[in-house]
Amino acid sequence: MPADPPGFRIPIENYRLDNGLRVVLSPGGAAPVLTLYLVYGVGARSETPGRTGFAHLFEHMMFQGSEHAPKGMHFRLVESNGGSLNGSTHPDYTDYFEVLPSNKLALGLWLEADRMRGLAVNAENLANQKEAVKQERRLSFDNQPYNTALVEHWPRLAFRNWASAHSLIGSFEDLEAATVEDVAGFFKTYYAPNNAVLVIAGDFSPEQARQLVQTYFGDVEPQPQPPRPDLSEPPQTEPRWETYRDRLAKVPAVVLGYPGPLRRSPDYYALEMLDIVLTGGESSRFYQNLVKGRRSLIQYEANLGWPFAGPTDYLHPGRYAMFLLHHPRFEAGRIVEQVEEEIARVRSEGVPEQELARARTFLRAARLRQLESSRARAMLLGQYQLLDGNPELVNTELAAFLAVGSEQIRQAARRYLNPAQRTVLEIVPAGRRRGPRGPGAQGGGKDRRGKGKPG
Amino acid sequence: MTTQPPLIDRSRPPETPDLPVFKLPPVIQTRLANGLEAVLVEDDRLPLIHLRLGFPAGSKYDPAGLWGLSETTAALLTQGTTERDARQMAERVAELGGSLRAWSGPDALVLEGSVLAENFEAFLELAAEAARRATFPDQEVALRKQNRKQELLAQRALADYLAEEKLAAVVFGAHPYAHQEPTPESIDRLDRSALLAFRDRHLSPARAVLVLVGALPAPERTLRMVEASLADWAAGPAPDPPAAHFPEPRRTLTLMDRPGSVQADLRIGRLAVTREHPDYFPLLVANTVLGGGASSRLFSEIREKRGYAYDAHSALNAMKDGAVLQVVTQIRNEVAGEALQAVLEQMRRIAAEPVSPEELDATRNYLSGVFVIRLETQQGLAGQLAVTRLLDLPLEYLEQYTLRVRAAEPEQVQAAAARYLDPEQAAIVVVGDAARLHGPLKKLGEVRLEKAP
Repeated sequence: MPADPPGFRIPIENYRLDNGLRVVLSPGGAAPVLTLYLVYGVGARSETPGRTGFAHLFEHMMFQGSEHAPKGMHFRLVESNGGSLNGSTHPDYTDYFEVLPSNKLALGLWLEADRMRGLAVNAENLANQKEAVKQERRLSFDNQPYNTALVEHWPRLAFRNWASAHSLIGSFEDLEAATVEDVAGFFKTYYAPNNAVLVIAGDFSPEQARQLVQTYFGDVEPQPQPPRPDLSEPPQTEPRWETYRDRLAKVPAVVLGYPGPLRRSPDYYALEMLDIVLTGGESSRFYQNLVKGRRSLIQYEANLGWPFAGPTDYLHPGRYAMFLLHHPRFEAGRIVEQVEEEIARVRSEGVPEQELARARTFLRAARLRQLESSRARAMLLGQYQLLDGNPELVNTELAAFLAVGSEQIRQAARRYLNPAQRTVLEIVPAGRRRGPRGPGAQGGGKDRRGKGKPG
Repeated sequence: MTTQPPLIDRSRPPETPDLPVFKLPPVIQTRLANGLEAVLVEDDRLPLIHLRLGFPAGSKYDPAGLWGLSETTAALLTQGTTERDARQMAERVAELGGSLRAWSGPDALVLEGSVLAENFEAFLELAAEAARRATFPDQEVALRKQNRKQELLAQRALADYLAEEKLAAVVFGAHPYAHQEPTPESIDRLDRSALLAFRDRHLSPARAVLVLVGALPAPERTLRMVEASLADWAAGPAPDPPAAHFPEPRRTLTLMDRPGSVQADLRIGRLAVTREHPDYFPLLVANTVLGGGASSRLFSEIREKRGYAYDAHSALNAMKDGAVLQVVTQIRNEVAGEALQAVLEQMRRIAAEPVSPEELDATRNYLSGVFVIRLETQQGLAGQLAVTRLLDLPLEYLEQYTLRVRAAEPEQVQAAAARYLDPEQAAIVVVGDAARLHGPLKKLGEVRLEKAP
């Protein structure tokens, strides 16, 4: 059937500097604001054994000062000029953004270029940021229900290749062992212009931006193209199930996942449409049949790439995975059965046209909303350029989703969402029982099962 | 493109102009005969429209013991009406490329949604249907209660949730601002008739604000659609909000025991002033110098310099009738005593010494800049327009905001800090492992020990 017209066109200028830096400019904004977004092609899956958490530690080091911007200046200059900023580490990339008043573009470019050109790595900064990362880990993982299960156990259970299976936040031991030389080497290898994408979106003049980008980034030295990690994953041939006792959780949960398809393959588009049918909004099957009909689920999240990526930055090998917070009167096994009944129905019957039409409209609206803020738009453009080499996809890819039909969804569900390839992490509240506690205790699940490296 | 040698000095940050002055886009503001206020802003970059229909019907109107009445009423507005059941409602929203939900904050209950512009008229009718003709079906009420209780269980596993709840209780005392979240017991007491009564009493067009931002039809046409959906809605009498009486701020120490916590959630807070008060903007600046953003004193001292915590910030949360100012951090057990002292020291310092001109200038710019960043999206702009009117402030407040931030002088900032950031008058709440924290805390006074739920 013919797809609805997208009804929008985001202006894009896409080019490359001589040193290999890919640049994407997308002017247009409702407020006098712009976003400068720099994404580097290195993430947690680029780490090597003994170096877990390195990509994230390095992201912290990017805020510790550079050649002409001493420690603290980056934060101070951005904020004292009315902007906000942050950085984050993902499985396959690390990104940094500044959202700035529209007449402050030069300042953001100067800061980003200065730290791409030369980072101030010293022992004091490194020691301080190791502490900050440990604190972040305590705050975001060790002292939070569910998160330890997701960050430590889920990857190990879902993947066999160490690159995908290891702890993405890293162990305290590996963080401690990181040296100034390690950090400097990592910087030289990965933080090169030819391994990065620079996006500017929002209220600015593209002509002026081109000149400024050339001025600040034009002579940053390129480096040999860094090696790409081997992410090859053996096929999963039997279901996996592990139980994790969560000392901080009060409500049981199930993490359920299946191997996912290649990014931007026909099955990828089909599974994304299926995900909307199953879990998108209150008209979805999970909400109507499981939250309401069976009253078993309380909350859920699901995505291609969940929990560390979403459909827009999903990269193979990944999982179509979901988090299901459920009522304690249901056993985890029953929850898995209920979800698989929903999937089985699609495997046998496909999706009725009316429901599919609704899913298409849902997706079209959701994608439009993603383009509103300069920051969200810049991130999307950066991901398309880094992962697909084509930022124009922001305007064109919607058509591929909207063209998916019922039979294509049925086939994709058969190929990917079958019980033989299922992985389940059951999270059980461990109540008030306490294990031995000491200064090095890392919280979460003293009596967890199945500890150890994947075989 | 060839590489030119740069003509500028790259060893120093470039000079950039002063922040642009923020001007609101053109706003159409009008009132229907029944009192409903409509605020329209055209933004046709994308074929989307954001809708917000707000009422002064937030959790402060919950009767004592029925905490959660306002938020449950809000949640049920989209779960069945006289025209369609919850499932049909959800399907209709999705068909229109929309999202529609209602929620309640301390002051206001807000029905909020976004829709593909081509379906705006039908969506507006649907929103009006939810606001006016929800039926609160028994089975939907029962499901909401069941799931909200489980959510509460999950929330109460979080140390920061417990700390937030406890500080609000200490600061706001008997006022309903102390109960911005329900309890399992109060949820049990809610039923269909209570929800219907709350809706009928508090959701009246007389004090409602409708904000529409996006690729709207021409203004006359948009207003005709608004009239068609909402003009025949009769206004009811306006209920009074609870009297704004709060306890006098004073030093209290509360330690909530959460055995096994690897860090301590620390909050130091007190009653502050609302937006109309002359101290508000100087205090906002003082608060931001202390703990707003990554160049604030707390972030620099507690995280960057000493590594006591990952997060250390302070926040001024001004509601309509009262406000709370609080310092928030999560500190390592091993350094809890030193970290607590370091935080208190920063609070004392900002009251004792004037803020330097550079720090003041930086803070004013930061506040002005992030304020404008929040107005970039339809949702952001609609949210600010709605909240401004629900606080009974004129829309010009949004343009005056950056000017008033800039007008805060060093002596006003210091005076506000001395008045509201004195740790001797602040409540201290710590959630963590009492065995490790009781020692450092009791040096400050008598500690009230509680158990985490």
